[in-house]
Formats: sequence, structure tokens, C-alpha cells
Amino acid sequence: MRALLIVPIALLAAAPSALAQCKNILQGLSPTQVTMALCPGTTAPAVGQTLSIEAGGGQFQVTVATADPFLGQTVVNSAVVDAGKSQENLLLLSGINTATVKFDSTSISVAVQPADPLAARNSMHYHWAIGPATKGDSDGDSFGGTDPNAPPPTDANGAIRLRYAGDYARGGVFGFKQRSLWQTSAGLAIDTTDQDAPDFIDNNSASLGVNLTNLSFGRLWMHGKAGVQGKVQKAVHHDTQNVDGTLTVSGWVPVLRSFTLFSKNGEFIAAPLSFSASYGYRNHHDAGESYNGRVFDASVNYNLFLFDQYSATLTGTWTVSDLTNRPATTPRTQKMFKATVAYLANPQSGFKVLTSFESGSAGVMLKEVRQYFVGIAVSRLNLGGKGGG
Amino acid sequence: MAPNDGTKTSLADAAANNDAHAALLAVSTTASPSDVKKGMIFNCIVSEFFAQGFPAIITETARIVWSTIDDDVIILLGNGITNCITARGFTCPALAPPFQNLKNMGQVTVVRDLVTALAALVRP
Repeated sequence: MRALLIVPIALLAAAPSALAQCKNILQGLSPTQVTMALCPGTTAPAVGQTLSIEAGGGQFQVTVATADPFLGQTVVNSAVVDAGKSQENLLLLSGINTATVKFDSTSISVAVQPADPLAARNSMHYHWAIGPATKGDSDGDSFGGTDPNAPPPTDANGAIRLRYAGDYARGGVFGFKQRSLWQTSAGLAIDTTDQDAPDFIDNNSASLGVNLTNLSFGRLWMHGKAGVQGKVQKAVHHDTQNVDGTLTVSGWVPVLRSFTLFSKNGEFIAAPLSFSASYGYRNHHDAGESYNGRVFDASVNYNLFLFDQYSATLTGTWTVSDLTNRPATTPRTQKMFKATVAYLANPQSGFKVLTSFESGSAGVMLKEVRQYFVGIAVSRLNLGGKGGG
Repeated sequence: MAPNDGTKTSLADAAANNDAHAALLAVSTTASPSDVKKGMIFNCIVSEFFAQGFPAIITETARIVWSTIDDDVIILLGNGITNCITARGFTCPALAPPFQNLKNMGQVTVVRDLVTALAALVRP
């Protein structure tokens, strides 16, 4: 029993560093200019110092032109020493994820950022969270009851919920056509608990796709992608899964901008409504039976800001499964809504999730759920509404 | 009336003479090179954010929520603002790396603070 308690506590302690982490980053914006953003605690070189940059199996030298503080970081701007080899140097930084910067006895590992916006398709990022989960409550009694100020319901069973979302993207089609608009992407999403009961969320997926990127149509559609994708969704605790082959489209809709309501200190500038949609063929497996047919899936994400210190991120998912011989237990249409509320106590550390509420069902879930997730930053809640820095 | 030689009368004298123009001059300050640089940087921020699909930044009190911005858009913003500033005759480091870290750290930045911080990076 003690071991079961120790693991969640250790993961909770590690969560803040996973959510907010400074990295030393390098970018060669032009053939003769290399810039680094160094994190607090990293030794910064002095102006005039020569740096050796090891990347992509080669190395080249730069001379520091400026080194200035910038919002908690140090920005080091440097010029390539041998300008005659500048194009070769830029190639060394092309398509790699990390490099090493050396000066005196100091060695710094840096992440390499693509220089060309059209090549900004080499990326890998992830986030995860773990915390208590409440049992599903389809009739909504756990929301409010007679006392509107009552705290969120606690879970008597001690259920733990794990969420992970990771994305990987690489320019080209499986390593070919790397200097084109094509992109190969993969994703892994886990949202499950340690409980076998069907009242708890259990929605997990893995995907692999090829897309055209950087598509736009004025302010109706920007940063768009369109392509084909293969995706597997599976419940960990139940014998049910989907295998999809689909056409996909995604992007931003700038005309549906984010809004700030009831603010006295200036509006928040954030991404507008974003969406993703897919249409294609599905093989659905449930309790030993298989079904085939067309599927449509769409999700939208929208940011809203309130009272200078609160953000509400609204996410909606709509799924239509038009399967042949669909069993009565498999719904044709599924809807899932999620609202995440975060609080801005300190601009330097950003918004911290206070709580989230979700209702409905998505993916391979057969039963609608309605549940809270109480985040790790609940201790920062300022009920007076005047705190923060 | 205010003298035409560029000197200022005091606010009290301007009030006594009922001279609104002189009163305005008495409380005004000359624009410094730093103000010109900050104005240019602010204009570049406004134009690049709008070009990448964000709402128009009306005032310097607006606050940028970096965590909502995709990584590839961060690069487009950083490169765009750097190129905008460089095109006006200034030297500016690549801004995508520090912008990416503002996102990584989940920071929320007031545009005025961003302008001031950028002014310290931009030469001359």
C-alpha cells in the first residue's frame, strides 16, 4: 500500500518541471548569424569570445557580438568567423535537434530551432499530468447539489488518472522530399485511470500521417494542414478499439479570435479558434465483434479570458460513426465537451490549471461521463480576486 | 503666445496668458532616440502578430499568452519581427529562440515589457 502512495506523490512533485521548462536554444537565422537563448543558471559567454559549435558531425566557430538579458534569459548573438563557409555551417544546423556549444572549459547542450519557417516542421513535444479522478456521474448530481460553494467531490476509491499527449513531426514523406511542404507526423495520447469500472474515462490513441503544411485562405484559415492519417484508438480496461484510415484537415480560424472579458489591465493575446477534422473508413472492434463503415470526427479548441487572471479553454469533440451492423451499444453520434479553468498568479510562471470539467463521450468510450479533474495548482487559488503579481 | 525660438514658457505663465499651445509645450518632452526605437519595435510586433492570425494589438498593455501558440507559429513570429526590425536599419538577434522559451516557461508577457526588453537587444 505504501508503494502505491509513493508513486503518485513522486509524479506530482515532478509535474511542475514538466509543464514549465526553459531550454537552451540555438538558431542560425542567416548564414552569418547564430543566436542562442540561454536559461538562468547557464554560463553565458562574454562579448568578443569565440565559441565552437558542434553540430551534425561537423563544427564551426562564431564570435559573440552581444550578450544581453531578456525576460529572464540571456540572448547571445554571434557572427560566423569564416564567412566563406557560412552556407556549409547552415547545412550543419539543418534537420538536427541538438548541438553542443563550447568555450573555455564550458560545454552547453542546446536544442536547435529551424531557421526557415517553411522548414519549421521538425518538432517533438509532449505534456502529461496525473491526479485524482472522480467516478463518472451521468446525472450530474456531483455538480453543485444544494450547496453551490461545495468543493468538488472527492473520490472515495482513490482513483488515479493519467494523461499524456505527445506529438512528433518531421519534414518530408518518411524521410524523402524534405525541402517540400510535406510533413510526416505521429502522435500518442493517453487518458485513462487505474480503474476497470466503465464510469471512468479510458480514451487512448496512436496515429501516423502525411500532410501538406502551411496552407492558408486569408483570415478564414491559417497555419493549415491537409493530408491522410492512420489511427488506432483503444481502451486499456475494455475489449474495444477503432482502426481508422482518414483524410484530415486542421488549422487556425483567425476571424474567430480569442476574447478577454471584464478586464481592467489589458486584453490577452492568444491563438484564435483552432480545429481539426477527419473523414474516412473505420474498423470497429467491440467484445469480439468487428464492424466497418464511414466515420467523421471533428474537434475545436477556443481560449477565453476573464477578469485579468482567469482563462477558460473550451474543447468540443464531435464523432459520427456510420458503421454497418452497428450494435445497439455503439452510438452513431458522440459529443464530448471539456472546459479547463486556469489562474494567473504570476506572469513569469503563467496560467496554472485549477480544475477541468468534461461531459459526454468520445472515441471508444461507450458510456457518457461527467467528471472533475482537480489540478496540481489548486493551492494558488485566490478567492479574493486581487492577488497575483 | 509661446516664443518661436524653441524655448518653453512655464506652465504657470502659459495659464496666466490663457495660451493652450504654450501650456501643451510646457508639459511635453522631446522624443528621444529610445522612444523612436521602441515605437518601431512596437509597430513590428503589432504587424507580425496580426500577420500570423492574432487579433490586432491595440495598446502596449496587451498581454501575450505564449503557451497558446504553436511552435511553428513561434518561429514565424520570431523571424518576422527580427526581419522587420533589421529592415529598418537596426541589428537584431534571432528572436525565435527566446520566444520559444517564453512559451516553454508558460510566461505571460505584457507588450510594453516585451518592447522594453527588445529595445535592449536591438542595436544601435
